Amino acid sequence: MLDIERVTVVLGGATVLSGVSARVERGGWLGVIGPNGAGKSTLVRAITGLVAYEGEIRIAGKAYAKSDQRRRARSVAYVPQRPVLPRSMSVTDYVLLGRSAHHPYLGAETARDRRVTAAVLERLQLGAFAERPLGELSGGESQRVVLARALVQEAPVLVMDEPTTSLDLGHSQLVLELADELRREKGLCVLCAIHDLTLAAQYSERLLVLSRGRAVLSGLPGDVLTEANIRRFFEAEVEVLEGASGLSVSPVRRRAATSRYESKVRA
Amino acid sequence: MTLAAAEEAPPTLFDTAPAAPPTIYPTRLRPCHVLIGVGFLLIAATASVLIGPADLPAGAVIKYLLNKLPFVHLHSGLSTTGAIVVWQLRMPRMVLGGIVGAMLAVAGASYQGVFSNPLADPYLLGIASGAGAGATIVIVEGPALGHLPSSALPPAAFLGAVVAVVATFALGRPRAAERSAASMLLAGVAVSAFFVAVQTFLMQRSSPGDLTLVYGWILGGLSTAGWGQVELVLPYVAVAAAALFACRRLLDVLSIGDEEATSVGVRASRVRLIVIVAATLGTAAAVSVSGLIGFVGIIVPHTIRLIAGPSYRRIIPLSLLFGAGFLIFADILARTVLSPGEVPLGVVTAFLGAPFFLVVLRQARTLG
Amino acid sequence: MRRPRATIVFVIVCSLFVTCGVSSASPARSAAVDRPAATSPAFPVSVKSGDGTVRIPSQPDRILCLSASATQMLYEMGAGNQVVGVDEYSTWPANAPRTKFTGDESSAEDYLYLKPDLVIFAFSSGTLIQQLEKLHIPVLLLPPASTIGDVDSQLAELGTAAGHQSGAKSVRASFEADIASAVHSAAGAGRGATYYLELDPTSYYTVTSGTFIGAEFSLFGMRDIADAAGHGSQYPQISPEYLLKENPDYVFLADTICCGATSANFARRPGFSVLKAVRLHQVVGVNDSVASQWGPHTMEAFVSLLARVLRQGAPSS
Repeated sequence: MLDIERVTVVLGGATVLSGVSARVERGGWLGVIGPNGAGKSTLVRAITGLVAYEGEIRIAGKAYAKSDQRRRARSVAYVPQRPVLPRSMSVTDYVLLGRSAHHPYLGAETARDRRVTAAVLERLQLGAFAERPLGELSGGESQRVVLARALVQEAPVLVMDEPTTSLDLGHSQLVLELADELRREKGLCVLCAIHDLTLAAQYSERLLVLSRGRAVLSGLPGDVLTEANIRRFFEAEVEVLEGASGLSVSPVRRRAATSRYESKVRA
Repeated sequence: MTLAAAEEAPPTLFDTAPAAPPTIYPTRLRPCHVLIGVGFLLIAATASVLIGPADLPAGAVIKYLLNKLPFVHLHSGLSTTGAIVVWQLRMPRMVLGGIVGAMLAVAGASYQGVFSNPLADPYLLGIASGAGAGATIVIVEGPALGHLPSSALPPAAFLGAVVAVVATFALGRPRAAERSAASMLLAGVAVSAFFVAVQTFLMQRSSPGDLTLVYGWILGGLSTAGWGQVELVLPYVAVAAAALFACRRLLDVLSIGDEEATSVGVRASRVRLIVIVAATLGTAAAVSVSGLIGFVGIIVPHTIRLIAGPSYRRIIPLSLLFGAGFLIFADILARTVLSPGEVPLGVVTAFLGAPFFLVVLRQARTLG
Repeated sequence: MRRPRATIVFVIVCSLFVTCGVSSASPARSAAVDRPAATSPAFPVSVKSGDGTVRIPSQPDRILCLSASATQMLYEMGAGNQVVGVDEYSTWPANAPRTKFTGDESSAEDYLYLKPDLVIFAFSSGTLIQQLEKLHIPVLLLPPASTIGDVDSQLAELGTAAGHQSGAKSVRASFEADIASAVHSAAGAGRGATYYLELDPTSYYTVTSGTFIGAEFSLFGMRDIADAAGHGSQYPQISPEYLLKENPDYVFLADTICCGATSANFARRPGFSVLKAVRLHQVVGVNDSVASQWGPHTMEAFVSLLARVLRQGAPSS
C-alpha cells in the first residue's frame, strides 16, 4: 500500500535522509523510531509532500508529483507534531478543513462533507465540542480534534509525526487506541514516528529504526527492540521486559561506584 | 474496500446512513449580517447624494435618480444645473467612494489572511510609498518632463505602486517556506523607506504650490467630475474583488499554517501569490485615483472580525459592504465639517477609525 | 549708537509703506470709478486659459474671480460691476465682494449660489475646473506670471473675456508707462546689485528671477542670489550659510505679515549682523502680497518702492 523506495532528502546542504526504504501493507502499522535528529519527522513530511526528495514514494502503486497536492491529500492524511490551532476557529470548521481536497477548490463543503465530518466527530466523542472554539479545548481534546481532521480526509494512509509529544500518558494511550481501532475497522495503513519505545512496541506491527538518516534496522518489535540494539543506536541503557500486552522498554540506571554526594550524606 | 475501489469510487471510510449523526453547523455568511451591511451602504449612499452645498430638494433628487432606472418614468422637477450636480458631481463621487472603500477593506482583510497578521494592511508591501512617489514625480517634475496633463497622475501612481510591490517581491522572496511571510514584510519596509525618501527629496525641491498639490493627493480625496475616474478604476477593482471573493474559503485554510494547509490539499504559496497579486492590483488602482486613504483596511475587517467571527467566509463579503459604506460616510464628513473647504479623507478615516475600533474592542473584551 | 540707526531704519520702512499707500490712492489707478461697460464687440470669444482655450458665449456679468491678481486687473479695467464674488485673498480693492472661497473648495457646488457665468482661477485644484465645465460654466485659468510680459498678456486675455478690451488697453498702457518711469527714476542705481527675497523666515524659501517678482527686480538690473540655487525650481530653498556666502546688497522680507519678520529681527538672527545688507540698512520689509499677487496694482507699487529704495541708497549711520 505505502511503498518507500530509497528516499533521500537533502536540506540546507545536509543529508537528512539517505536511501531509506520501507513498505507498509494495508491495515498495517509501522512505527518509525530513532534518536533525536535521526530523520523521523523528515520521513513523515516527505510522505506528505512537504519536502523534496529523491527516490520514490508510492501509495497504492501511484506516485504523486510535488504539485499534485489535492490528489495526494486524498491518499495521505497527516497528523503534525505541533499543529497550528487557530484559537477562535470552531471545532467543526477546523475538522472540515480536512475535506478541502474533496470539494471543489473554490467551492463550499457539500452535504457529504458535512456527513463525514459529523460521523468522525461522533466517533471520536467530540460531538459535544462541535461548536467550541479551539482555544477552549484541553490538550487531549485538541489532539483528538487534530486526529479528526486527518481522518475526514478519508485517506487510506495515515502518517503521524510524534502524536504523543505533548500528551500525558493517559491521553497518549487514548489517541493511539483510537488510531489503532480505526486502523483495524477501516483497513488504514499507518506510519507513526514516535519516540516512546514502549508505546512504539505496544501499537506497532513492525518497527523501522532510523539513525543519522539511514534505515539501520527493521522488523518485528521483538526482534528490533533488544538491549544491544538500543544501546547501539540510541546510546541508552534499558531493560526490555515481556509484559502482558507486549514488550515494555524500561530505562535502567546502572549505579556507578559510590558518588561523592552519597559518601557525604552517609558520613 | 478493495484498493481498486479506493481509486474509482468515492472513498466511503466514514459514510453512515444519512439519518444517524447529529447535524453540524459550519460557519456561513449570515443573511442578517448581509442585510445590515446592505442597509448601511444604502443609507450612506443616499445621504451622500442628498448632502451638498447646492440646495437641492431631497424629493426631487430621489425622483431624478429613480427615473434613471429602466422602466421607471418620474418627473423630478430638478433644474438642469441640479441634474448635472447630482449626476456628474455627487453620484460619481459617491460611487467612487464605495468602490475605493470596498477595495481597501477587502484588500486589508485578505492581507491579514495571507500573512496571519492582524496588523497587515494593503499598504504593507510598498503600495502607498510607491504610489506616492509616482504621483509626486508627475506633480513636481511634470512641467520639466514636458507638460504632462493631470490625467497622467493615476497611471503614474499605479505604476509606482506596482514597481514598489515587484521590488518587494524580488527582495523578499522566501528561501525557506516558514519564513516567507516575515521576509516579505521586511522587504516591504525597506522598499517603502526607499520610495518615501524619493518622494520627500522631490517635495523638498518643489514650489509651495506643488507642495500643496502633493500633500493634497497624499492625504486622500475623492473629488470627481463626471464618471471618468469610476470608469478608469472599476474594471481593475471588480476583477480584484471578484478574485478575493472567490478565494475567501482558502484564506480560512491558510490559518492553520502553510504546511498543514498543503497537507490537506491546498498549496499555500500559490494561494498567497494569487491573493497578494489581486489585492495589490486592486489597491494600486484604487489608490491611483483616491490618494492614500489609510485605516480602512485595518479598521473595517477588524470590526467585522470582532462582531462576526474570524472566518473569511464572512469577513470578505462583509468587508466589501461595510468598507464601501464606511468610506462614503467618511467622505460626507470630509466635505461638510469644514465647508466650503475639505478635510483630507485620510485624516477623517484616521479620526473616525481609531476611537471606534477601541470602543468595539472593549465591548468584545467585556463580552468574553 | 544703536538707537539712532534703528530709528532711521524704522522711519525709512514706515515711509516706504506710507508711500505705497499713497500711490495706491492715486487717481490714475482708482478702482472706485465705475466705467460704463464697454459695448460687447464680438461675443462669443475664445480666450487662452492655462494650456488650452476657453469659449465664452456672451459677455459675462456675474464673474467669480478666485485670483487676487485677476481681481486687480478686472477692477482697473473697469469691469468691477460685472464681478459678483472674489476670493478671500483679494484685498484690493476694498469694496470688492469678498467671499470665504480660496480656490480649492471641495466641490464646484459651493459656487452655484452666486450663479456665476465666468470663474477665474490662478491655480488648478483637484477637479474644480472640470466640474465647472460639466456645469457649462466657462473657466479662465490665469496662472502666476513669470515675466512682465505675462502680466501684459493676461490683461489682454481678461479684457477680451470680460468685454472690456479698451479698458484693458488703457490699463496696459499706463502699467507700462508707470513701470518705465519708475525704472527711469532709479537712474541705474540698482544695476549689478544683488538681492535676496525671503518668503519664510525659518525655512528660507525664496524666489528666482524666473518669477514675476524676480522679473521686477531684473528691470533694474539687479541679480538674484538664489538663481544659482534654483535646481530647476522657481521657489528654491537656500540655507543661512549660502546667504552669508553670497552676501547680497539688498534683502527684502516678504514674510512680514505671515511670520512677523522685520528688519530688526532679521539683523538679530545668528551671524547675520555681518551681512552687507544689514550693515548698510538695506533690509526692507514689504507686504507679503508682493510675492503672491501679480496684478498691476501690486506690481506698480512694488516697482515704485524698489526705485525709491535704490535711489536713496544706504543712509549714513
